Amino acid sequence: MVAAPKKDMIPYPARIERTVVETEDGLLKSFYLRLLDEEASREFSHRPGQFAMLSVLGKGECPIGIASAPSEKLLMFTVFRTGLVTDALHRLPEGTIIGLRGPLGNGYPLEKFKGKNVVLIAGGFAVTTLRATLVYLLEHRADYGEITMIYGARNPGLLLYKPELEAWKKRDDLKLYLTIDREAPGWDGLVGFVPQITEQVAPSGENAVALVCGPPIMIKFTLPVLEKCGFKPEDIYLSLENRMRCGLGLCHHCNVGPFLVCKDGPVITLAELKKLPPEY
Amino acid sequence: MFYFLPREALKNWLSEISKVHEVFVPVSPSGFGPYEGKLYLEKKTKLSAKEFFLPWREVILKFEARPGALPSPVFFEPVKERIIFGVRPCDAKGLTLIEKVFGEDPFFQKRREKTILLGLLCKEPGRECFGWAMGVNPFAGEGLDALFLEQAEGYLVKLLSPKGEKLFKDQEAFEKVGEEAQNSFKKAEKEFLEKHPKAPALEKLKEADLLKLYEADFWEGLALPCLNCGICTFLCPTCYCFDVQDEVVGLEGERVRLPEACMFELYSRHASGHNPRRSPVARFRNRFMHKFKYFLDEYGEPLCVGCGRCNEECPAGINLWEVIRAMSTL
Repeated sequence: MVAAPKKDMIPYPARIERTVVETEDGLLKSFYLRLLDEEASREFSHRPGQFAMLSVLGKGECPIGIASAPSEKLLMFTVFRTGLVTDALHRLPEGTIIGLRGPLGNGYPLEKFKGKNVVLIAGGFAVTTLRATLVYLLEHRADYGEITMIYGARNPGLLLYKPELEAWKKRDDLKLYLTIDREAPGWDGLVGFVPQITEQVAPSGENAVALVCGPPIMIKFTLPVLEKCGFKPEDIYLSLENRMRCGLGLCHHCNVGPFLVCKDGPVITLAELKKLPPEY
Repeated sequence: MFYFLPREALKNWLSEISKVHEVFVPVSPSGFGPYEGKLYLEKKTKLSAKEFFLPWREVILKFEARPGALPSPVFFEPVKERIIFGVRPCDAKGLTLIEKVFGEDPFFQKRREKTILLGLLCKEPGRECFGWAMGVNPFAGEGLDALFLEQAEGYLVKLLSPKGEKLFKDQEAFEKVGEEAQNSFKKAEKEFLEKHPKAPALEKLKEADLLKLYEADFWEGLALPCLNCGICTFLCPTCYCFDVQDEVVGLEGERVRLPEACMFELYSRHASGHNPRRSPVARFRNRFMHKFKYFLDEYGEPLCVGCGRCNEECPAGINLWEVIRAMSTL
C-alpha cells in the first residue's frame, strides 16, 4: 500500500547519511537519505517507479526518481548534476539535512506483473528506478517468470551501481546484458546501442512485460524492436519526465495533454502514451 | 431566502460589518481593496477575486538560509472572517472550477473557508462577456454565499449558502421580502437565460477527437499574433498554474508559490534544456487545449467563465471566440 502524498508541500527533513560518486565524470552521485522524523520514516512507503521532490532550502526543489527498493533502510537517489538544485545538492557534505517530499506519482504496477516474464531495458542514468524495480523483483523472485535486464551506457565509466552489477552478473535467475556504445579498453562485454542489443537478445513478448527507461533517442528505436518481439503496447511501460513544481497535480507544468506526469504518471504504458500529444 | 437593502443603506452597512469582519470591495476599475468608503460597482474589475485565493505570493514555508536548516511551515490563516463584496458571478463560478483541482490544497481551502463571498449581478453584459455561452448562469450564483441584484430602489439579495444565511440572520439594514420580490428575481433570470443561451460549441468540443484537435492546422495562424506575454493567464479568473521559488534575503528564506503562465518558455523547459513546448504555437495551443478540451473532458465544463478579460486586455488583439470557433468547427 502506498501512502497518499502530503498535500501541504512541506518537505520532511532528511539527513544525507552517505554519498557515492557513481560515474567517472563525477556528474552522477547517489545520496542515501534518512528521514529525521521517526514516524515519517516508519510511514514512508513507496513503490518502485515513484519519485520524490528533493529540496535544498534557498535553492529550490526538483523531482528525482527513487532508486532504492521499498525494503531498503535508507532512501536512495542518484542525481545528475545539471541544474540549480542538483548542483547545490552535489556540493553538500554527508551529514547535511535536506528536504524530501514524497513519495509521488504512480510507480510500476508490480502486482500486475506476477507470473509474467519481466524485461527491464535501461539506457544511461535513467536506470535508477529500474534498479529499485530489479531489487524488488529479485526479493520476490518466485512471483515472477524470467527476468531480463538490458542496460547500456556510453562507456564503462558511466555505468551506475557497479558493485551491484557484478553481483547480479553471477546470478543464474537473472539474465543481465550490459553494453556500451563503443569499444573501450578493458571492456570485454557487449558493444552496441541498447536497441541493437535488444534485437539480438530478442526477448519474447509472450506473457511478458517490458519496462523501458532511457533517453528519448534510445526509446524511439527500442519500441519498434519490442513490438517486433511481440510486446503489445499495453505491456510496454515507460516513465515520463517533465518540469514540475508541486508534484501533486496542481501547478500544471508537467502536463502531456490531459495527462499529468506527477500524478497520473510518471509510469505510463505505450498504449496510453499513443493517445497523448507528443509533448514530452 | 431573499432580503432587500435600500441603495442608500449599502455604504453604511459595509462600514458596520467592517467592525466585525475584514471587508474587501471593488475600489477602482483595477480591482479590490479593503473597504474604506470607496466603492466601484459600475463594471467588473480588471483583476478578479481570484487573487484572494491564489494570491500573488503564498508563503509555503520559512527557513534560515544556511545549509542543513530545517524548514518551518507557515500557514496563512486570515485572522478574521473575510467578506468580499461585489464579486461578479462569473468570477465566483471561476473559483468553483479552480476548486475542482484545488479541493485538497490546504492553502486554497484555508482561504476559502474563512471567506464569505457576496456577489453582484452586472446590470448588463460587458462588451466582451460571453459567460452564458460557457454555461454560466449568473443568477445561480455558484460559488457565492449571497447574490445582490440591483433594482430601482436598492438591492434584492438572494441567500445561497449556510454561511450567507448566518451572516444575514441579524443584519438590521436588510428587510425580508415577500413573494413578489422573489418573483421579480426569477423573472429577471428567465429573461436573461432566454436571451443568452449556452453555446453549442461546447458539445462539439466534447465530441471532438483530442489528437485531431491537437494536430489541427489552424493553430499556427491563430497563434501568429500572440506575444506569449501571459497577461491572459494572469487576468483569467480560472487560470491556476503556479510557480514555486525560494527567496532569500540575508539569512531569511521563504519558499513561495507565485502565479505562473503556461505562455512562458521556461514553464516547461527541463534542466537539460529540452523543452516539450519549445515553440510559441505549442504553448498557445496548450493553453486552449487545457481550457476547452482537457478540462472539459475531465470535469464536463470548460475552464473558462466567459468574463472576456483576455479579449479586452490582449495586446495583440487575440479573440478567444475565434479560437473556440476554430476548435469547435474542425
